[in-house]
Amino acid sequence: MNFILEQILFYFAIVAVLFLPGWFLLQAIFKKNKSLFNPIEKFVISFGLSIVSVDFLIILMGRISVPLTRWSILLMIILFLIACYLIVNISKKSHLSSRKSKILDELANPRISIIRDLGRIKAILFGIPDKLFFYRSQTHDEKYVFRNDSASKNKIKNFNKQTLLIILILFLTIFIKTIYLQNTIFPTSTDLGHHMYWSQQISQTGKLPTYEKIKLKEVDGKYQLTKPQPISDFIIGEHLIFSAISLISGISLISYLPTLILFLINIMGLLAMFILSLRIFNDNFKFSKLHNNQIAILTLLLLGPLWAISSPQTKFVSGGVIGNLLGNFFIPLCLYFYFRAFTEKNSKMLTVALFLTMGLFYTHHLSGFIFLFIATFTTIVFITISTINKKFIIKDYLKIIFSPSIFAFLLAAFCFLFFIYTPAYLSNHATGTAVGAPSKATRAGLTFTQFKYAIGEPRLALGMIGLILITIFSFRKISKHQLIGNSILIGWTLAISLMTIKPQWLHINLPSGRIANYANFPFVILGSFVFVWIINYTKTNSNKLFLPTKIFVLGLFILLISIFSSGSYDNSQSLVKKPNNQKALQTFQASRYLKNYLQDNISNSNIVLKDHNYLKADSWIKLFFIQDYSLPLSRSYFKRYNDSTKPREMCTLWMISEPASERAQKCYNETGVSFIMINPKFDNVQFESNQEFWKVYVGEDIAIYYKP
Amino acid sequence: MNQKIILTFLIIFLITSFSWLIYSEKKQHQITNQWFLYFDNPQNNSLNFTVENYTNNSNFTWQLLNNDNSFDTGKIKVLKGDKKTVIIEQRSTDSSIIKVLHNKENRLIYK
Repeated sequence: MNFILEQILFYFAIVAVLFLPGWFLLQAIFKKNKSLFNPIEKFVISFGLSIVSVDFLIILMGRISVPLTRWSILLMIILFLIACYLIVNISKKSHLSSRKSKILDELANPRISIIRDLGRIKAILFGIPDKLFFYRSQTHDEKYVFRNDSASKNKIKNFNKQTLLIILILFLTIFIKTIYLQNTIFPTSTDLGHHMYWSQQISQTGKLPTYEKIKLKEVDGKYQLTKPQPISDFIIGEHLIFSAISLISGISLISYLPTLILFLINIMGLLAMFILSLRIFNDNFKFSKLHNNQIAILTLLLLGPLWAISSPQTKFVSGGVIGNLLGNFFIPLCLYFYFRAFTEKNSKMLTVALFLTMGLFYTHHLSGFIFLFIATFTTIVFITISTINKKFIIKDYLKIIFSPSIFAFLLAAFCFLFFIYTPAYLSNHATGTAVGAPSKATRAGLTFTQFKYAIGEPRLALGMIGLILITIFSFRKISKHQLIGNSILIGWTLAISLMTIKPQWLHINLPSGRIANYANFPFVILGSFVFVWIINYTKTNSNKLFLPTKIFVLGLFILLISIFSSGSYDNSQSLVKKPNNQKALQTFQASRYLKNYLQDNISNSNIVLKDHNYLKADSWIKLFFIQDYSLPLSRSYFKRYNDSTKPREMCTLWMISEPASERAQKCYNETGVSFIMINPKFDNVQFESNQEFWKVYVGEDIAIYYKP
Repeated sequence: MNQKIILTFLIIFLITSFSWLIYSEKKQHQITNQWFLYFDNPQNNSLNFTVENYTNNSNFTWQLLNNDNSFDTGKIKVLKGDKKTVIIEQRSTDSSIIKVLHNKENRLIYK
């Protein structure tokens, strides 16, 4: 496809699938109150709502047997946009009268009407557009301020500095991640290949995937390929948006497409943290004159350009760790809506929060499981603090919890879950495997040192101080807004820390390293809070400090330098050299060769076996065949065959490592394997010396043997 | 902070980054200095084979070696980015080896 046309289609697909549905849904839900969200919030929320809406709509389409094609998905999106638009317009008419009265009230306000009139007079006299004579206030407290107003001038100056700073941080973030990704954008990652198999299956078949795979088993002394068995490792929300974008744009999944979508999700995750910290620290600690903007900007800095590459950031983007990236986006976004729902007592916000939470559970089971713990810990912390502070009034919150919109949503969610689509991990009862005593050393919790390296030393140190500080402040006189915000931060941090370091206390049996990938977010917000708090405390209480202010300033400067150097050093360690993707390209060429031949000759005796140890991008081979998730069969990493905690079949090892042996011959005869893909630089000898094998394809780093 | 300006710049940065990454990835899709040799039909006893060339040198020399020491030879020219099939009338009986020499490198396939 022409390069320019391809890009246009790509961006069109991104906007159509990942922004428009959410934007229209947001307008439809919050039709009355457009000022509820600022522009960045609308941008991020639209993205989140789009992913969840498109997922559910495609599931619905699949369930009613509508083929999933480019035009059906586009039509579905258009119908959805029209429906949302109609809802907005219907309510506009009914609210026209209330809007009129609001305008009349505004005009009745003498100050505002004088400002507007003076501006208009100037515009008429000098023939200049009146908009130049007054600014829209950013805080929505006032609609118009005088251009010459000095207080507003300073505010504008500060706004400009902050705007520039945020733009610079975003530039550095995207620049550093791009530098890393340009050497890793080519599709070779094993995890991404596994996930894209399902997305490719959806695109090719036009149907929802059935998460199952065949297995190679020994039954009564005979090796055989079983019928497809259900698997719980994959969740539908990880694959639908990739299929939708690939179908609409016409761009293959064996390309930059999945990596760029994950890159976008990663950036949105950072922005979700930005808007969360803006809201949580809004109206917080007024006595210290803390600015939520400063904390949010520092959060963006600590998550963006610093530690930009190591897990769970850009490495997860190129590595295709879809669930974790989506989890790191949806968790802060859900917390944002829960926070606003309970502080503003808004049942619509709570409905959206529940909608996004449901989307999270349809996207990634581990993220959903972690979110459950975060919610539980937050609730416990909230009840504890408010009981001690004697602030807890349950009836305040019962009203929004037991509202019609919540009931309607829960009913719809119940019907969807039980009658339309149940995620594989629920229908296969796989949740039981996550609960219990840790079964392996890797699930017994990380040491503190490992935890420190997972988060980054300065971020952990600052975060821990922030946790202590915010806990102390929570037991002083604080508003309900601060109480809820603090409960979220404390609960979030405690939940993730305990799940990572002491999983046995919580009866969790999950890889601790994977949970640690969720840990840096709450520590970063707390660390940003404490840093800004120290600066403001130093400024406002300089005469009360036990050391001269200059020492404090110097100390903060050194701390900032150490944060920058630590984050930048981490980036430098993670950069990769220029890639040589010729090996992966050879794998793809060989796969095309076999696929072109086998598509007319599929049979049970034409099973393909490939090697995972020495072939590059081998997990992508199955995208060429779309026969089964397990096909071609794979000789796995050698150490896995020696893992006593997880015994596995040995046929795939013998058939490549010792093809002439009796046990390998038995495997060949009983499994139907006849084509073997290997790297001739490592596995040539045992085949060349065996007259039973034909060498039918050869390149520099790949060869295909056939056993007649 | 002026959030609309921030968003505008963010979108510009993302589009620029994406365009660069798309261009980089497309460049990396070009096979260079590789050539492939394979049978047209890997399962039957037809010896027709194809040479696929992605190098600058388009000259290939092939040899057919049979078990009974008979052989055949030939030269083909395959331009860069192209492939050429060589039709062998003979069918493989016992064993036959196709050897191709290119740039001082020998590769063989056999049935």
